[in-house]
Amino acid sequence: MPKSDPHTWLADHGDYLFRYALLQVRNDDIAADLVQDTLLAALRAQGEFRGESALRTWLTGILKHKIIDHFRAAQRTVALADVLPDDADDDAVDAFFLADGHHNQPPQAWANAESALEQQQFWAVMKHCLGGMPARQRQAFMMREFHGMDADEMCKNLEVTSTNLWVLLHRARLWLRACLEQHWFGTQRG
Amino acid sequence: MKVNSYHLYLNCREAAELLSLERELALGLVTRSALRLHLLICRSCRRYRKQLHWLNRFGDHANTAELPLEQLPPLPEPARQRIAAALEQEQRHD
Repeated sequence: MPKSDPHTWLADHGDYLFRYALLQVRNDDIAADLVQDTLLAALRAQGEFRGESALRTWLTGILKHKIIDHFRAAQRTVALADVLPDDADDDAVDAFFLADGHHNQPPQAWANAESALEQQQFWAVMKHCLGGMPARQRQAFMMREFHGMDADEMCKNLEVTSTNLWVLLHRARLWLRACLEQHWFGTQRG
Repeated sequence: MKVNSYHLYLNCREAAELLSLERELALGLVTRSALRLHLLICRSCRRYRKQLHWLNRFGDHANTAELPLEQLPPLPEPARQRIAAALEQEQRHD
């Protein structure tokens, strides 16, 4: 196994790491900062890279930790006024249902749901949909579904009650499924 | 979110709430039965449940595979230069 040369890391993996971060955070500056933090951490820890995994996988693993740390910090600095009421029967959910409780836009059958993840265009849609969510919802959703954290762990980390976390996840799921259906699955045929 | 005050006949709004909630905790027997009853008669909510499951698998996949993100914008040049300089400096310190 030839030793990996850190000089090539940025050229070889900078774009991928940036895009991976950009999918999840609010803007370019934050994503670029996360890439820098990742490569610096990798440089300091390069003795730990055994070449058992691909370099990109290793770097992405470091970036994941940086993103989760960023989410934690972001959620903690949220103003008290942003903290959700415990029994939120609110506009954010109202938009998805009619007054009688039926779906406003009934979910459709998703065609080719399995192969979507392999398509470049799909990930551009995913970024659009994730980016349209309020920050706390997006962060909660990403930590739960994308990074696979469990709810107990998240409540401890985020210092939110479990009810507030459930509300965030519920809204995020309603939003994301509707957005993906509107911009991707509802337009796929065959 | 009402969590503990569901009755036997749910509407879709309540069912959607519970479908999300059941991914986080075990629902009680009565609530679970009410949800099952609603799903029996509601195709929209069966689809919703399937889509929530898909969102979960999307996460698992994204966690392990390399993603085809080529249509997202590349690292902007000024940021690239700044990062290169930071890496250079770090290496000099070794």
